[in-house]
Amino acid sequence: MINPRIERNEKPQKRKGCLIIVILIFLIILALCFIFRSKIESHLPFLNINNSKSSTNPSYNLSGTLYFIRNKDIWKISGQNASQVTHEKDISYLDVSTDGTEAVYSVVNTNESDLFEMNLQTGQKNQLTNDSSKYLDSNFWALAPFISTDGKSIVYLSDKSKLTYSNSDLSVFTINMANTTTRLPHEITHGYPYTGGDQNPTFYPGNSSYILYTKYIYAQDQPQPFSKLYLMDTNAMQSYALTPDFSGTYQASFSPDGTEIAFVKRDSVSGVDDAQNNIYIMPFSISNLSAANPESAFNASYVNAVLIHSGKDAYPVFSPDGNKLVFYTLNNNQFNISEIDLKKITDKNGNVNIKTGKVNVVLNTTGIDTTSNLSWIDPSTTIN
Amino acid sequence: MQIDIKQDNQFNFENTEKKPKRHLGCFVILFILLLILACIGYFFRSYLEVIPTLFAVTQQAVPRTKAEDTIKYQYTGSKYINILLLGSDNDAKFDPSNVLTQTMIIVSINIQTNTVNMISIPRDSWVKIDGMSGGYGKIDQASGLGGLALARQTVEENYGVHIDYYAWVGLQGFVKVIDTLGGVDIDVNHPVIDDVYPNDINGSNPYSAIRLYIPAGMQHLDGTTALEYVRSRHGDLQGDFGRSARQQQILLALKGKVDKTNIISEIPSLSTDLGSSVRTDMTPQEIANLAPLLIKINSSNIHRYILSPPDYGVNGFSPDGTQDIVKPDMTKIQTLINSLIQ
Repeated sequence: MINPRIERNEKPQKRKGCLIIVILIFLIILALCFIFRSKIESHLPFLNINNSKSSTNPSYNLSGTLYFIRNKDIWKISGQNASQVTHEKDISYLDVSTDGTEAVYSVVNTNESDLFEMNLQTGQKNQLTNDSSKYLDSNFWALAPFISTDGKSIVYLSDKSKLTYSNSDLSVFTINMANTTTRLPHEITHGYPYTGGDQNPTFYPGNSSYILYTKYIYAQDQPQPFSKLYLMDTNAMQSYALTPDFSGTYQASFSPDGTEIAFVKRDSVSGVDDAQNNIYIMPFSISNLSAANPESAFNASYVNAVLIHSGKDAYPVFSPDGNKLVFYTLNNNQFNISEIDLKKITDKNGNVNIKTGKVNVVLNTTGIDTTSNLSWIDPSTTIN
Repeated sequence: MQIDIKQDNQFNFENTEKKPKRHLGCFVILFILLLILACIGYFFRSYLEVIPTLFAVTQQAVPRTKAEDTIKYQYTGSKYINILLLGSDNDAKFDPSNVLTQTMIIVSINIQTNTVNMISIPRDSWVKIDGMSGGYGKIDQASGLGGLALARQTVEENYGVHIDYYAWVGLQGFVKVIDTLGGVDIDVNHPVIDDVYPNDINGSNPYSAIRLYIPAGMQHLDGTTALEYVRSRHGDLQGDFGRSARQQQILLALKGKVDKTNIISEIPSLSTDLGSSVRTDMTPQEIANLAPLLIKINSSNIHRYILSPPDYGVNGFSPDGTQDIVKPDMTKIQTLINSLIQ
């Protein structure tokens, strides 16, 4: 008589046997995969391994919308979410209008670049410059555009002055956007040859007659050019030095009310090799500018500059209410977008103590383009 | 009957329990064996792919010349390790066996004080070269005339520094090293504009040029952009000396990168990538011994020198007036080197 239990036990054994064979085959395949891993991967064109880490700080909630460039596209951070705005894969040097409707940027190609504007609601693009040529020396750069508060002017960098001066580097140009028929570029500064030229032009808030920019200059007997900040009064075509020679100051931006300037300064600890790119803020007033002594205009403001953050930083930009500062900072071989609350580091008497301030990591991800401006837009003008 | 059944049941129960135990045991053994097999497979693959390349890159000893044996150096002992870093434009314009060394940097590591001195020798330095017509030539021509051995001998003879090892990198090798390490983070001190940057790596015509722009400030550079940064010589008034400073800057940034990267995990991809683009006479073991030492050295203990005019020579022309050269001030240079390596 057959014991029914024995019959019942035979099937699980077979199943287990099958299971072991399946696991065996799986492990053999696994072993083979280890051996031939690189070959298998290289023959799978659809296999896209993305090791990039991306994370917004869950404890940080950004007020408004912050635009930046990541992997050649426009991205934005709203609240706690970072999202991709464009899928162009050719965007560099971004700025967004204060109402958040228009983006201006450069498309950089081999030998030249051009400016574009894009309606962020419709995605419609419009080319603003056309500087490409089949002849190498007839190509030009159009870079780092910045829109005025009223949206009627764009300031940017170009080496088109080479048409006039053969050895000129990047200079500051403007385009009047209000004129929709002829948008001829107008040269504002003249970049010194072999310095790379001028950099980071921005308008004074509410008055596009004043342009803040970084100038690179050679001093006598100095092998390398140094950077300093200038303000150009385009009505008088008078420039004012806002920082002294050899100050190593660059990448400056105005506070929304124009009373302060944030900038980066190269501070050396024990030599050029361990220089820090620290962020400072200095007070500013147009009324302090004296045409009688334009190269000493910094005396009223630079002496009161205060250190805000120490690190390998880039592009400090004020929040729309002027109470916070956002910037790129290098941390552990990766650039973060970080923020510091200026109110928390300022005491009742207006003195700044950076030790009391906490730096908030807004976004920690790969592929952030730190050569592009950060654009922080007021919540009331945010595009959803 | 009940007892029998119970016994029968027990018997059956034991039977059904014992067999799976055996299977489970076999399964565990098989699992472990296969796991070992997988590991062996992995390392076998690594060995197959990496080791030959690793040995193709390293241990490329260049026999010392007879003249090298007769050189008398200012220092003795094993306090320093001196490595001669060489970089060449090994693009299609040049015969691969006859490339010039556009970059020559002596990296002197003091293993007692954990300090490093990087000394860049301008490629146009007019120095005594064994076998050169007229006895003198630009130092970058030594490798073209007598290979890496003569390049090393020329540095040793003219600068009085014994070279323990050399490391040579070509254009593609430089790009691959940077890319394999995930790029490099650099503070570009001033914007670089070069309207005639050589388009000799990717273009169909190695003699053609492209326009180059690199903005100022902290940024992440990939291998290609990093090469452009260290190779451009029309972006400032210093020309070749300016790029020597940028080369040293990249080396420092790479050191910082290696400090924070698990370099061991990158060795397979580095070795596979580098192939014929990098060569050194160091053994893998010597590199492995040196790596922790370099990581330990603080950036503030790394000092940079460029033997360029006006401090260490004057610009001029070759005796026949056909070449722009740098006439090195060997008295000042020797004083500097003696103060650094003694």
